[in-house]
Amino acid sequence: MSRRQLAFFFSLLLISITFLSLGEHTKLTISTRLSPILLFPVTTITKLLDFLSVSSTRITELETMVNRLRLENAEWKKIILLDTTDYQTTEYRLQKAQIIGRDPSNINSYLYINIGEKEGVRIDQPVLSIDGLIGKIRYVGNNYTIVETIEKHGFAASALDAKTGIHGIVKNHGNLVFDFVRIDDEINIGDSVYTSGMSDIFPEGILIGTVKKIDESDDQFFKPVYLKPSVRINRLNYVYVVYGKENN
Amino acid sequence: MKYLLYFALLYVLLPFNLYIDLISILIFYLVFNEDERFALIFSFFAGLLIDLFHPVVLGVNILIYVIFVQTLLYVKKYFKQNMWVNWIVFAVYYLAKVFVTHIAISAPVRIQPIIFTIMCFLPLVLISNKIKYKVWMRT
Repeated sequence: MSRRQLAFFFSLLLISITFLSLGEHTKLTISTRLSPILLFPVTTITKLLDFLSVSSTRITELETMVNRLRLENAEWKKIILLDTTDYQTTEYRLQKAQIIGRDPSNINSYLYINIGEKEGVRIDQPVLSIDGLIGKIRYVGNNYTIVETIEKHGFAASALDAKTGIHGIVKNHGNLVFDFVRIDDEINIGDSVYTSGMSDIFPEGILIGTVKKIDESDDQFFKPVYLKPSVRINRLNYVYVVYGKENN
Repeated sequence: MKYLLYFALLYVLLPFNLYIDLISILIFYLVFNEDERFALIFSFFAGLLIDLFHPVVLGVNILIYVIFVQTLLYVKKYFKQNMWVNWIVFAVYYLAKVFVTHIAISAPVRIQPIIFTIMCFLPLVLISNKIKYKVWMRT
């Protein structure tokens, strides 16, 4: 080891011993002066990382809040719209009912709701949600009711395409199909199909679904039009039973 | 340029030094692979930064690092470097450093970072050697 190297070592040693031997107050003063200069890159990076970490947590919190508010907003919209419908339509009255059960063999075909004879429910009364048609009353018990939904095989309702005015019958053949649409009728994917009111059961103007597929058919007269139901029955918690004049 | 890189690395490693003492590994690596005077200055500066970043007693880390580096510089010519010798020397050096720090500032000894540091030494040195010198271990 060279003398130079040794001298270098001892000078560093001396500086460190000097640091150690300083009084607390002096040490603190030196630390306070040196820290902002020497630790500037570290403190900047640490602050940035803290900021990013807080920001990402805050973003997650805000996203959760936005989602919750969206859901609440959607619920409020439904309530307001239903109230408006109730108010504007003197012909019909809606009664809210809670879904208390589902048919375990086919979970979306039948719904059990918590109103019955006591509330004046009758067979074949329409049932809907704000998103559209759900079905009709199939059985009325004393304090519960069974609703047959549009997802039940064989369900049928008279309907029309809101855009083109084509009439037909919506049936469930396993899929929801808008029947009796003629080969030369103009109907497009995305068209909304509503109840036409040409039956004793469903009043007109309830959304059933939208056209999702139009098949080419070998049939001479009609083409099969498939619908996507407007209501996701497995997501429902509440439904509205429609009371007509005779029920009121 | 490479010296600047070492200082940049020092700043990067500083916030994580409580969990795994990568700065000690870096200093040990410099003692064996870089200019002796630079290793001393670097250890002095690293000690100073640690003293400022985790302020306990200003000067204690500087003193410990400077003395240990100088000791390593002195003894390194007396043993033949290979993977296991380096690892054992590092383990001894690091445990001694922890012990002295513990005595000097009565800091509680945390076993986990010590184990992590000793375990990580060899892979890190091997990788650094491979990157810098294209060999796993310089002898």
